[in-house]
Amino acid sequence: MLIVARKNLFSERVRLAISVGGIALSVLLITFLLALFRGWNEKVGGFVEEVDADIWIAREGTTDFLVAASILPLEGADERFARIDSIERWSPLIAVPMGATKGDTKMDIQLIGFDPATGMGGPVRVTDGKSVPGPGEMIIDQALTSRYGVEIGDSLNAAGTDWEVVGKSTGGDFVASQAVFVTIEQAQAALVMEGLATFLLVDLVEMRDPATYARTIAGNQPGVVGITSEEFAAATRDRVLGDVIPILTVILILAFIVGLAVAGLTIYTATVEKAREYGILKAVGFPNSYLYRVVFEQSIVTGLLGFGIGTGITVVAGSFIQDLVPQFVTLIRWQDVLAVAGVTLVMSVLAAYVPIRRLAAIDPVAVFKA
Amino acid sequence: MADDRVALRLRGVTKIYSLADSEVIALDTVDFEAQAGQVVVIMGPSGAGKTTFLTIAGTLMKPTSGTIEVAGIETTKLKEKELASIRRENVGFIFQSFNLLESLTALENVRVVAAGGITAPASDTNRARELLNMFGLDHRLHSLPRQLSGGEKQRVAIARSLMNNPEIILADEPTGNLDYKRGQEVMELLLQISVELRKAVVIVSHDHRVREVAHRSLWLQDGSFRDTIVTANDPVCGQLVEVDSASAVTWENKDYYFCAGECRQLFKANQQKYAKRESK
Repeated sequence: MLIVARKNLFSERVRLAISVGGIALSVLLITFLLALFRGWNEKVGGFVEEVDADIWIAREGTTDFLVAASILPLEGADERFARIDSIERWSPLIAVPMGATKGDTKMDIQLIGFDPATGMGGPVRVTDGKSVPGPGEMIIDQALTSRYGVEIGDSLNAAGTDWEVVGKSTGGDFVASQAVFVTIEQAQAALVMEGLATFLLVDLVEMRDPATYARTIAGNQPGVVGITSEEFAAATRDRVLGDVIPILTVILILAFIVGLAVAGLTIYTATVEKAREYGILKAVGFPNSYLYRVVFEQSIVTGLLGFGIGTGITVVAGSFIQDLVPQFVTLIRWQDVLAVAGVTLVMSVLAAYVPIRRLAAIDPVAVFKA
Repeated sequence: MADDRVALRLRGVTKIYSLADSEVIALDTVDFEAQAGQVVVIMGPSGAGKTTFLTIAGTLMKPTSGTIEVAGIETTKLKEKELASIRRENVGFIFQSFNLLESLTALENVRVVAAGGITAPASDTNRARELLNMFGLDHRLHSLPRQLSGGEKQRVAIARSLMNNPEIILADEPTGNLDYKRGQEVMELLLQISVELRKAVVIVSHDHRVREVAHRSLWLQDGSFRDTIVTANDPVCGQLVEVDSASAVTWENKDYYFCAGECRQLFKANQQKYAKRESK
C-alpha cells in the first residue's frame, strides 16, 4: 500500500470508522439476508429432498408439500404399480397442515403419517427417544422443543387426539410450521382417512429418469400428477419464499446503496479536503495514475475492513440470534461470502470513481497560492 | 560560482490568458537562462507574471508560444505524463506555504517524492535522513508538519526539493511566511545549495532581502523583464515597487511609493507610523 494512501486513511480515525462502519453495516445486512434466505431455503425444501423417493404422486392441482389438498385412494395402488417396471418400492404418506396445542400453547404443525415398514417420509434424523412411534405416540421435530418447549413425555393435542411425544428428530422444520410424525394407521384413524393418503411416494430402481416415469405414472391414472422429488422441493420452496425473494432483493439493493453512499461520501470528502495535497503531489511530479492509486487503495482497504467486520459480525451474531429467535434460521455458504466480497469490491471501486474524477481536475498551479 | 551549464532556458515565452471577453498577456516574449551554481531572483509588483513564469518554467503550465528547456530537454511538446517525470527528476519546488503533506512525518515528506511507495528503499531513507540532518533537522525526523515551526517546515520543504537531486530549484516566495531571522536562514540555505550542490536556484519574491544572496536579480513587470529600474519599498506592505510606475506620496520632504491604492490609503491614514517603520 502506498504510504500516502495508508497515512491519509489511518490518520483520520473517525472518518475511517464511519466509512468502514458504513460498508460493514451494508455487508452485515447483505450477508444476514442471504444467510437468512439460504437458511429458510434449506429448511423449507429440505424435508422433501430428504425423503427417500424419486416421485411424489398427488391429486391433480397439488403444487407443493405444505399446502397439499390431495386425497388419493390406496385401493388398487399395489396392482397399478406392479404393472410398471422399474418401481423398486412405494409407500403412502399423509401430510396435513394443522394447529396443535400443548396446554395453552398453540403451534402450527404438519401432521405426517408414514409407513414404518418402508420408513419413507418418516423422521429424517432421530436425535432422541424412539424412532418408530407406537399407537397414540408421535415423534416431533426438534424445533418444537426450542420454540415451544415440547419435550419427550409431553402430551400434544392434534386432530382431536392426545399424542404422547416419544422421540425427537431434525430435518422437519419448515420455519412457519414443524413436522410431527405418527404411523399412517394412526393418522388415518385420527383424520378419518381410512384407505386414503395424501401422497404416494415412489422409489425407482437406479439409473431410471424420474421425470419420464412421473409422466408415465400420471398418464396411467386420470386425476393424478407425478412430480419428481426435485421439482416438488423447488415448488415447496417457491410456496414460502416466492413472495419473499422480490422483497429481499429490494432490501439487498438498498443495503448496497447505503454502503456505497457512506463509503463514497467519506472518501469523496477526504479527497476534497486533501485536494491541496494531491495538487502538491502533482506539482512535484507524480502522475495522475499515482493519485488515482492513492484513492483507490484507500477505498479498497476501507472495503476490506468493512467486509471483514460485517461478515465477522454475521457469523458470530447469526448463531447467537438464532438461539434467541428460533425463526431466525441462517445458513452461511462460502459461495455467498465470496459473492458478498465481490459486491464489496464493486462498492469500493464505485466509491472511488467520483473522487478519482475530482483528482483529475485538480490544477497543480493552485498550490502556488498561499 | 556558476558554471556554463544552462539548467533552465526559456526562449520567447509568451503566455496569454483568455478571459470571457478579453485576453491578458501574463508573459510577453520572455527570454531567460539560469545556470548551475547560480541564484537568480525575480522580483516585481503583484500581477507582473512572476508566478506564471515559475509555473511555466516548472512545466506545470504550457506557454502560448516559445520554448522551455529543462536540464537540456525541450519540454513544450511533451505530454503531461512526460512532464510529470521531468518535474520529478529535474525540478525541485519550494513554496511560500511550505506545502508539506500533513499526515506524513518530516522524513516521509522528504522520502515520498523519491518512490511514493510504502516500502522505500533503504537508500532513499538514508538520503532523506542525510538531507534533513544537513539542514539541522536530525531531531525532527519523525515529527509531523503541525509539530514543526515555520522555519523547520521550510527546511523540510527544501530537503524535499533536493531529494531527487534535481538540477533546478524553483522557489516561490520562500521567505513569505517566515520572520526575519528564519527568512535570512532560508536564503543562506538556498545560496549554499546553489553554490555547494551546483543547482540553479530561481527565486520569485517580493522580499528585497533575497537580493542579498542572488547572483543575478531581474525585475519582471507587465510580463517582461526590465533592464534598468529604480525601486523602493512600499512602507506599508514592504513590497519592492518600481519607482517610475508606482503611485507616490510625499510626506515631510520624503517620497514614499506604493504597490497599490490600498497601501497608499493606509499610509495616509497613519503616516507617522508607516514612515517610522520604513526608516527602520
